Amino acid sequence: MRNALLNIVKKEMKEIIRDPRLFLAMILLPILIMPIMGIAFQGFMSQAAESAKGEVRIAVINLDEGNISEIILSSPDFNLALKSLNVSMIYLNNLGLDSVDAAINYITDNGSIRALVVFPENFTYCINAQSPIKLDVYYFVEKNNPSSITAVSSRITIFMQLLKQVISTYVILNIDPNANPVFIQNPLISQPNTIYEGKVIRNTPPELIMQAFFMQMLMMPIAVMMLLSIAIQFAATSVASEKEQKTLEILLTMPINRETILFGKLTGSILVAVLGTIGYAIGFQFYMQSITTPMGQGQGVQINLNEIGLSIDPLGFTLMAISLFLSLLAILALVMILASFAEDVRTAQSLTSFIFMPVMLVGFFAIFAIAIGVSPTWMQIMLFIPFTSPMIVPLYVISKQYMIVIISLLALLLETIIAIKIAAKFYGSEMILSARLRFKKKKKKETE
Amino acid sequence: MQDLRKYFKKTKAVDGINFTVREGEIFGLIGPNGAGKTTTLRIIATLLKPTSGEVKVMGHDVVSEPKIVRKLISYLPEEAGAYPQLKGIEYLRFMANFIGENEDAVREMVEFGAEISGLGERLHDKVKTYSKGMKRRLLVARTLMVKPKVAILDEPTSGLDIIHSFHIRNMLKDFSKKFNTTIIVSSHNMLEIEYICDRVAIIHKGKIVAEGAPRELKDEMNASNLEEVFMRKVMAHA
Ligand SMILES: Nc1ncnc2c1ncn2[C@@H]1O[C@H](COP(=O)(O)OP(=O)(O)OP(=O)(O)O)[C@@H](O)[C@H]1O
Ligand SMILES: [Mg+2]
Repeated sequence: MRNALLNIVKKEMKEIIRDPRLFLAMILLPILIMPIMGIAFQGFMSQAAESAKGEVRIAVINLDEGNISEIILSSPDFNLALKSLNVSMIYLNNLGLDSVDAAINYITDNGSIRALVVFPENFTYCINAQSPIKLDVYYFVEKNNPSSITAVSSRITIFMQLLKQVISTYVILNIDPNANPVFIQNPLISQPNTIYEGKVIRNTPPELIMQAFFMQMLMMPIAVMMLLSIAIQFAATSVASEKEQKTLEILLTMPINRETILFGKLTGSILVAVLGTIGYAIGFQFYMQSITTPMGQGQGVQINLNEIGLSIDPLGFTLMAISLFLSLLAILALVMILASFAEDVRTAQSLTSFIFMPVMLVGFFAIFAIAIGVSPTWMQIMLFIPFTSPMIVPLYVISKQYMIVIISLLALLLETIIAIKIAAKFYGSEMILSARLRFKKKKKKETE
Repeated sequence: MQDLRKYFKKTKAVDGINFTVREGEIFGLIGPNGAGKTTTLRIIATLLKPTSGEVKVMGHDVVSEPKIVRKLISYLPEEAGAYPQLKGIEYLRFMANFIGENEDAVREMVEFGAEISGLGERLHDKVKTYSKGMKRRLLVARTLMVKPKVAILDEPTSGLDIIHSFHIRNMLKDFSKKFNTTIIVSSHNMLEIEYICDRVAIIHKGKIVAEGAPRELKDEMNASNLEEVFMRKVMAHA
């Protein structure tokens, strides 16, 4: 006998390539997912904006050799405006700190301050000379809550606005009523720097870091969701279509192992899913680029993921791949059982999506929840579920928590073996032929 | 001589049936709708397991040795389809690949299948463009191209016009003679059964109510044709 597995896989491929219905389902589904992701992202962003209402602590270190900075910083108008914005300013000079490095160290240890504004040595000099003052701003990104930086960044913008007004007023009232209007309009240039994980990333606004973070955090789950949904759709279709087209009975009397039929369809589904995902990954890259380029372009900054500790090493990638592969097998085995209860493709597709879509969405939203800072217990639970494991594993891998990942993968292996055993048993029995379920019939009965 | 015995009880569907089919003969199963013909054939084809009783195909038990049985038989289900996206010839090849030992054997099977299908050039069109009759012919060809020891055909001519039925009927008869293949066939067409079958069994409500060569049954009942035999037997057990 020739290779029956290959024979089945080849036939599956021919069918998918030639059937416009199957293609459509595979293209439509991810297109529907895109807006959902968009909504999710927006929801996350508004959450971040929500947290912008809380108090933000901004530190100031004054290196000015003159005295105008003191006057401005102690201006009652300025301080009153800050208070109304829920910004509390911490004047580090009062704590005896006298250098940027010392300030950064202090803030890193302190942990509750989100930004540092440095008043340079030439502050007074620049005001007198009416030339723009360059202010360095350091943003401190919280590792477990990078989104909080949105709130900080918006306060800093307002802080700078206020500062400009106070400086302009001061110059016109006390130095030169006929001051250079260009200087009066824009007396400050603020230079953003980001501190992430104790590392100083110069000339880089925190939004860029956040973007990199989310790219890492989102790309994997999205790719995983694509892959899973394509594979599930395809597997369900391929099983149910054998029933719909009445080809199953003949196939089952072929002198081959029933497992071969199961594995042939599994392999076909995984192949199609991988091909589909590669296609979408390329599409998604364009999609994301179109969003991020305008922000990143002006800065002319390249972020080295390695430098900020967001990179994934070979071991991490291996663990991610194992998690994905095992999950795929486990889920598809279950889909194959579920779909064989359906007598037609449409029933099979709705049956499987009713069950798997919510689960995957839960996993997906959980990642946002984690981004906003939810307890890690849920994350650990999801690590042990085939549907969510490949979405969660990357997060653990990025933070190099390998032990728990490996333990969860062992559990996943066991789950996968059980799922395949059950499916093989099901395919070996006559249940595969007699299992019956059709939504229309059911509904009719209910209404009767 | 190989023997094929069966006895099974399945709640109502098949309720204690015994019969033996001799090697090389065409055996007909007739009976009203729901009599249990399809169920019986599915059990022989290893698709369903009997609740009780025993079925042997050439001495091999369908329950304990399904893999051997599957190598001996070729089954045409009552409602069968072919993959609509495949071309007729691709379908034959796909099926032959499961059975042929090597590329040559597969090619031979496909060529033979193409010939007996009588579909000619249409074999290079996708199955979805076929009419019901063409599909049935393709499926019958698929069943026979592997030259099985035992061919099981559930209503091979159902829904076909006279010409298609005629074609299939003659093909079965020739085939059985030429290759000494045992054929078990079910049908609602008494003329057909009378024409092709060496022996028939009339099933009613899961039980055999008559068995024998068409001629014997007619003589026994003093009937002019099989239809009369069928009606009287079924009525008697109603
Ligand atoms: N999968 C099944 N589940 C439950 N009952 C079934 C199933 N298949 C068949 N039956 C029942 O078994 C009985 C025999 O059915 P079967 O299909 O064997 O009849 P048949 O002789 O082939 O009829 P027909 O001439 O209509 O094809 C019927 O009463 C039918 O309702
Ligand atoms: Mg039937």
